[in-house]
Amino acid sequence: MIEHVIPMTGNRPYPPRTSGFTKTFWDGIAEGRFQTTTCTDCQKTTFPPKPICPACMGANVEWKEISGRGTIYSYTIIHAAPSIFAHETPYAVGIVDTPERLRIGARLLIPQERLQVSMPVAVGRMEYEDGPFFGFVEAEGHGTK
Amino acid sequence: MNEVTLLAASAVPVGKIQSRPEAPDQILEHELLSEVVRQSLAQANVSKTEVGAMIFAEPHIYTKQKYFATFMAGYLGMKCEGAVMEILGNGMTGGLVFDRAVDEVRLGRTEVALALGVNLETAVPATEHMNYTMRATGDVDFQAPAGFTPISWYAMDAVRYMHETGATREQISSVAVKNRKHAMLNPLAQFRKPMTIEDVLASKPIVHPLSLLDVPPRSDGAVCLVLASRRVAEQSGQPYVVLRGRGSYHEGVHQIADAPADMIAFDAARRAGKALYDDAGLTPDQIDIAEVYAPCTIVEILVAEALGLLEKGKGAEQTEAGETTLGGRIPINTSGGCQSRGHPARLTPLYNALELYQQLTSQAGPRQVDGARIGLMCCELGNYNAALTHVLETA
Ligand SMILES: [Zn+2]
Repeated sequence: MIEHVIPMTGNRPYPPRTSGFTKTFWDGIAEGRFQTTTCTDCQKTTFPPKPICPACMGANVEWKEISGRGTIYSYTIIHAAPSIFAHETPYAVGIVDTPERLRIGARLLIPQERLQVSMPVAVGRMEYEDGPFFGFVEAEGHGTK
Repeated sequence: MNEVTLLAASAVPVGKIQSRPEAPDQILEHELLSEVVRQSLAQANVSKTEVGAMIFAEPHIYTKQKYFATFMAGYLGMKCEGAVMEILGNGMTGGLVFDRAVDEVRLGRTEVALALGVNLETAVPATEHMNYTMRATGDVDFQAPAGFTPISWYAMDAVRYMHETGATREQISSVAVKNRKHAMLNPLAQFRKPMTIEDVLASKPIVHPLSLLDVPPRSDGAVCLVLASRRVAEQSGQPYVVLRGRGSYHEGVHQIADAPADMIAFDAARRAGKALYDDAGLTPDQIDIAEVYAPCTIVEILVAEALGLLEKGKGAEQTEAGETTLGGRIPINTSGGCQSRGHPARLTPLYNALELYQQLTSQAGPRQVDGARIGLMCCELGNYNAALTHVLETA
């Protein structure tokens, strides 16, 4: 479940393409499901989703909703960005490791001064005017103790 | 297999060369490179008729002349039995050019092969250039839309390294200060004014925790190396170095694996290093100098650790202590490295080979490492997802 929605200004600076295959993923983001593919032969779950299994090279994969939770493996704050992203600077990106043993690179929608390695995060939908993208926010309840 | 030598290496000083579109007098890519080729052949004391292969770095998209390799074969009137071609492999481009030119000689297709290219990009603003390069260092549908930039991945290496080892920002940035000291002694270097650690720390933030002087400048360049058989090298009467070993590895990852892994181990460099040491029959402590492809300060530390030149987790501390400085235990990037020698990205590994050639033939002038006989070079692509290593030895 994607529980967090983050309003963004304007259109996506670099919108992703949609294929007949990835449509399931992007439709899921829009509808609140964070999904990827799992191999029904060897059980390998991979991200980004793929129409084949990169572990056993089989073609028997199925869509599976994942938790959307994880922890920050590393992060950075981008001050010097490509011109198409300049209006969003400074912004944070990071690498998130999930309980499904996935590693995901994504935007971190977290105040700079709070960013730290190992911080628990949860997936969120970035709501641009032309469509959604995914990013991670600080998990609720983290840091309140 | 034939023995391969590096017989000559010429280049223009790294810097801003590319013309702005409106400039009345344009710098032309083929004119710039032709003079470098002429110089390298004169230095090698071989005639153009002996050249049987030319392997080029593919010029950037901004370079007007397309099919540049075959155009240059015509412009220079070079008749070749071996390959005339361009190579593109991200940051590894120059290394693959070197590797392919070596193979032409090693396989006996020719006795003289050129490894060469031009890199012209500085008249294109960095913010525009990145709109294009960000597509080379991430998945264009799942990562690029988040706004990752090429060096943002290295910045995340730095954050993780500091977290795991307790290394300080000052220790990591000491790479840039050390490289500037080296560049001040290199006439081919782009930045040669004195610089302190305070200068690095005070420079503007680019990708946290790295600032302007931790990251590569924009650079142009033109370089030509002459690879030759041992027979041609001996006949030339010129100084030369011998290729003693090679290694390569691609870890089957583009930027990040799809599962948690030790990102800062630079496993591709570790494996390409091991392959190199096995091939050459050497151990890391036998390396006298190293030229490593390291766009950002942190990268030099991590690759030196992966190659066994610095101790794992201690590389930043050892760099700050001067172990990789000229006169230190294992001088690294005596050219000045990407930060100060400059980083004409598609040619950087060729400029690194040029530095090893000058050092190992005792032509490095005031930055000469006394008694340097064995030099290692290593280049990469992505976030060191692939690495290519070569070791050269004094003849
Ligand atoms: Zn499988």
